[in-house]
Amino acid sequence: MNKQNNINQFSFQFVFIMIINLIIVILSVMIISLGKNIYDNINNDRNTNYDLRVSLSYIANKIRQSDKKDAVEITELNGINSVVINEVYDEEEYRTYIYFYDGAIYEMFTDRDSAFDLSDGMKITDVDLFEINVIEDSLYKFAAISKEERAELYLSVYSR
Amino acid sequence: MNNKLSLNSKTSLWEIIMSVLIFTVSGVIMLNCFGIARFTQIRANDKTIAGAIIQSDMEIIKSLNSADEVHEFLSDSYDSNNMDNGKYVYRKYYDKSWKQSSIDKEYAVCITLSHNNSKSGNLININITAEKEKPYPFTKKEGLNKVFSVDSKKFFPASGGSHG
Repeated sequence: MNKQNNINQFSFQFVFIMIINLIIVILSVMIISLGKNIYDNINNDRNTNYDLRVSLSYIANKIRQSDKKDAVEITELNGINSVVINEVYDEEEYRTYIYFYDGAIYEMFTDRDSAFDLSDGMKITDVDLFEINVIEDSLYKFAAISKEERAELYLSVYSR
Repeated sequence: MNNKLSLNSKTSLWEIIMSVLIFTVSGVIMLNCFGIARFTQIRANDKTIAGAIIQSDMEIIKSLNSADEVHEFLSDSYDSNNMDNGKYVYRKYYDKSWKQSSIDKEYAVCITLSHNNSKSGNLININITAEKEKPYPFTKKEGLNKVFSVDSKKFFPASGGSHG
């Protein structure tokens, strides 16, 4: 009888410890899984944030540094609006085009009258969509969409 | 049959209690770290979006030609306005996804204007601040409700300036 009790007690102790170990393992897996999900979310948000911020900051800085009389204009390029920055170097006229093409923002620096293909430009950053609109003569609206997140920026051109 | 819970070895029970305790403490610390990381990222996102909203409003104000146009724009695009110590305060609200909403008020963008009138024109001091209505959890620093803030000035000459 005493031996039977010891066996029962042993098996109960063993099962109890095993259950606690199992609970600890399950909770550990849940915490690791939670950490992974949080890290994934942080990474996705960071990438989206980067795309939106870089695209809008890039346009804002380009326009700000070229905000001289008749230097900045919005013109249509293959059916979509693009920012055009007119510059003169050594009495030669050049143009910088900033436009949306094939899921990215591109920049193209070329002679004023040179023709070019949209794919010739230098890719700046990937975005799903980039819209350029003229609100008023001196006020432009830029909208970037990346991974279903949309960010907008209005910019006023002081030189006009 | 004696099936009641009694562990023979005191050392074994101690080990179990200690291991559960250590696991609980480390689990709480880890969850806290995850929470801090998540809400730090949310703050960073909020700062980016609030920065774009505030910069846009400031740019629009800078593009206007008179103080009346500024007030007209703000009356149209902001949800509420009031006077506070001689300053004009306009406020608009955003929901969790930063969509403008006067029902789900998760974030508020507040613009404060003070006028300095002189013979030569009207100088407007502008402050735009984005705030979160409830503080960010998992963080204990003060001033956490403020997301982003910008100060600027705009001068409207009485004669219309060089183009007036």
